[in-house]
Order: sequence, then C-alpha cells, then structure tokens
Amino acid sequence: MTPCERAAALLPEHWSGQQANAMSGADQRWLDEHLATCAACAGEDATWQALGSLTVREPPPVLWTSLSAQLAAVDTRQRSWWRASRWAAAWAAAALLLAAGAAGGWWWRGQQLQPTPASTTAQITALRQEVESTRQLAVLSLLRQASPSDRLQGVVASAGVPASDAAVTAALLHVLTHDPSPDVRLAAIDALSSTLARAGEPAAPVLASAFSYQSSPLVQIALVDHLADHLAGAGGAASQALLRTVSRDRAVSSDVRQRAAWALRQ
Amino acid sequence: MTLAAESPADADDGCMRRLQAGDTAALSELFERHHRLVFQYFARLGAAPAEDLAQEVFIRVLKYQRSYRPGTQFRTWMYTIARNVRHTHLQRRRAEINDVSWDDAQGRDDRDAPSFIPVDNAEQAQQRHLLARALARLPEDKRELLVLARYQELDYAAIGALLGCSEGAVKVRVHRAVGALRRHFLELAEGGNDDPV
Repeated sequence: MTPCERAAALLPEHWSGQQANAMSGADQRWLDEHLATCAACAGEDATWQALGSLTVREPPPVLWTSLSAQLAAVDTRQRSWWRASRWAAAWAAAALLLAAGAAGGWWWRGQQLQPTPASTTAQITALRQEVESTRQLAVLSLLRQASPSDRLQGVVASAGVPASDAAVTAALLHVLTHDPSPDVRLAAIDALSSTLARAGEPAAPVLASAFSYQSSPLVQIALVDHLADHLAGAGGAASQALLRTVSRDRAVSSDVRQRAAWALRQ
Repeated sequence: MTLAAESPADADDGCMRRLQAGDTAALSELFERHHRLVFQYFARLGAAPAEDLAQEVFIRVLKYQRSYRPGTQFRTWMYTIARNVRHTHLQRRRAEINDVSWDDAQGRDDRDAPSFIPVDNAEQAQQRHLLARALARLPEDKRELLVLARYQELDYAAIGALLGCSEGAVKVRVHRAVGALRRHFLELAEGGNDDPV
C-alpha cells in the first residue's frame, strides 16, 4: 500500500466524527505528517474540511405539531375505515341472518298443508320489524361516524326509515344543529323536512328552531327557502316572524337577509 | 452498584419496543432525537420540501413499526425508510420534470443544489457556493454517500448495512466520491464562477 493509499483509507475515518470510526493515535500522527508533505492528499483533506462548512437550515420548530396533526388525520382515517368496515360486516351478517330466516320461514310454510293466514302475517310483520330495526341501527351508526361522507350517507339512508321513528328524527335534528360539515347539514335539512312531511308533522317549527345554530350562509339560505315553503301551513306564523327577524338582522350576511326578504314577499 | 448510562442505540431500541407495545408516546422521543438529522439529510440532498419528507419518515416509522426487529440498529432501519421516502419523491419529481421543456431544464443540477445558508465573507461564500454546486453535480449515489458519511453521524459499518456493502467497500466508495467532488470543484473554480454569488 502506498502512503497516499493509506492516507485515502484514513481520511474518511478522520472526518467522520464518529467514535466507532476513530483512528489510533499512531495513525493520526502518521496522517498529519503525510498531509504536511503531500499536496494531493492535503487537497482531499481540505475538501473534507470544506464539506463541514456547508451548513443547512434547522428544521422548523412546528415540525412536531404539524406531524402530530398528520398522524391524527391518519389515525382518524384508519379508525373511520375500520368502523365502516366493521359496520359493513355487521350489516352483511344481519342481512344474511334475515335472508336465512326468511328462507327458513318459507320452507317451514311449505311444509304445512294449510298454513294459517294469521301466523304468516305475524311472521311477515316480525320480519319487517327486524329489517326496520336493523335499518334504524345502520342509520344511527352512520350519523355518528367521524367521516363526513359516512354521515352524509347516513342522512341519505334515513329516507328508508319509517317516518314515525323518533330516534332517527332526533338524530337528524342533532346533525342539523351540530354537525361540523355544512354539506351534511344541508342534506339534513332535506331529510328532516321530508321525514316530518311523511309523518304528517309540521316541519316549520323544527327548521326554525335550527336556524340560530347556523353560521354558514349557505345553510341559512337553505333553511330560509324551506321556511318559505311552509309559510302557509302549520307553524307558518312562527316562520314568518323568523324570516322577518332575519331580513333585518345585521349579524347575518346580506345575501341571507335579501333571501329572507324575498321569501316574505312571495 | 454501577450505574451505566443507556447508549443512544439502546434508547432507540427501547423506544421501538415501547412503540410496538402500543405506547405511541415513544414516537415523540424518537422524533426528538432524530428529526434534526433526518430533516437535514433531505435538505442537504436538495430534496424539497425537507419538512414534508422528514414527517413522512416518522409516519412510516409508526406505520411499519412491526418490521423493526428489536435488538437491531434503529438508525439503520430509520435511514432505510428515509432513503425509500427520498426514492419515491425523486420518482415523482422525475415524472414532473419529464413534462418541462428543454429550456426549463437548463441548469437543473444547480436547481438541485441544497439550500445552504449564506455566509458573511464574500470569498468564503463563493467557495462554498462552488462546493455546493460541485456537490450537486455528483451522481446521486456519490452525493448521498458523502452526506451519510460526513453529516449523518453514521459509522461506516452502519452505512455499509444501509447500502448493502462491506465497511471496507464504503471507505473506498467514500474516497472516490471525495475525489470526484474535488475534481468538480476545481473545474468550477478554474472555469470561473458564471453565476453571480
């Protein structure tokens, strides 16, 4: 090995700054002497040294905060996916059980020479109740999901639940007043209005009571439009009073005020 | 009784064991110890934005925690992740670069140069600017090897494990990379600095 080859092998150790790479005292002395007499190796040594002068900026102090937020988002997505998957599995299992039950029922019915109409009707009623109960659970579960798209799905699925289901109606009202997503709240206005109409109950007082919870002009305008449709029916007076208040309220946006004034003129 | 301070490698290994046992607070300890070097690894290689890539490394540490084998070198495992993150980033960026015109691509090696902090002395600043440009002109593998060897506080055995070669081979490759860097630097210095500093 030539002296320059030996120096080439020692220089990386000399500049690595790692204890594990540390060279012996004898090697260090030899290297110092060689560098003093060899221009080529001294040049390489100077390059190593110069590399140390290239400094880069420090990481921003908010890096951990930003990472935590990302991790929370990943965690939420994973949990949401897991919950949705779990619910889908439960839903599929329930559907299978119902199908098996129905098939069993038909088979049993086929075994009877003269099935009594009363028992068949009771079975069908029981099955229908089972289906409705499962559907209600599905809707309520979806409305509680972390993901807005899941909650939106729950709002849409509520159309399949009997209008008399007070739990779903209450859940829809809760979504309309408290859901963080304007899209979900907008969908809840239509769903709630439709559910109450099917149940034969006045929608206006319920929708009017939800107005004060809204900060999004989009949702406020949608509520104004729905209230305008119900001015003539039950609760019409309350709707009219609310629209009048809104049309003068400087705290709401001018678009909402104009919409309320327009609704009153219709 | 003799009290021995826990080595950094043992502390990292302990954190990973805790993380695998479900203690997510261990991730913040690992982040605290390593995020600066991981961030600067990307910044020195000109991989921007270094913030995003450094964060991605720690997200992957959490995501792929089961692939870490307790008792092994955490730093080697972490830098394997960092290299993969960078590889993915480079692939995406190359796909983007392929869409730009030839004129836009002029001086790409300088655009790839790491964003080093400017210094006060004009002559030193020029030297460092040339060195940064010379570093940027090195092939990817040589540039990464120099960054790993000079700045990342990794010994040659760890670099060898990371790159899949022997410690001796790492030393030889590092020596060649320094030689190539010096040649580029001298070429730039002799040719004059065509860019205002």
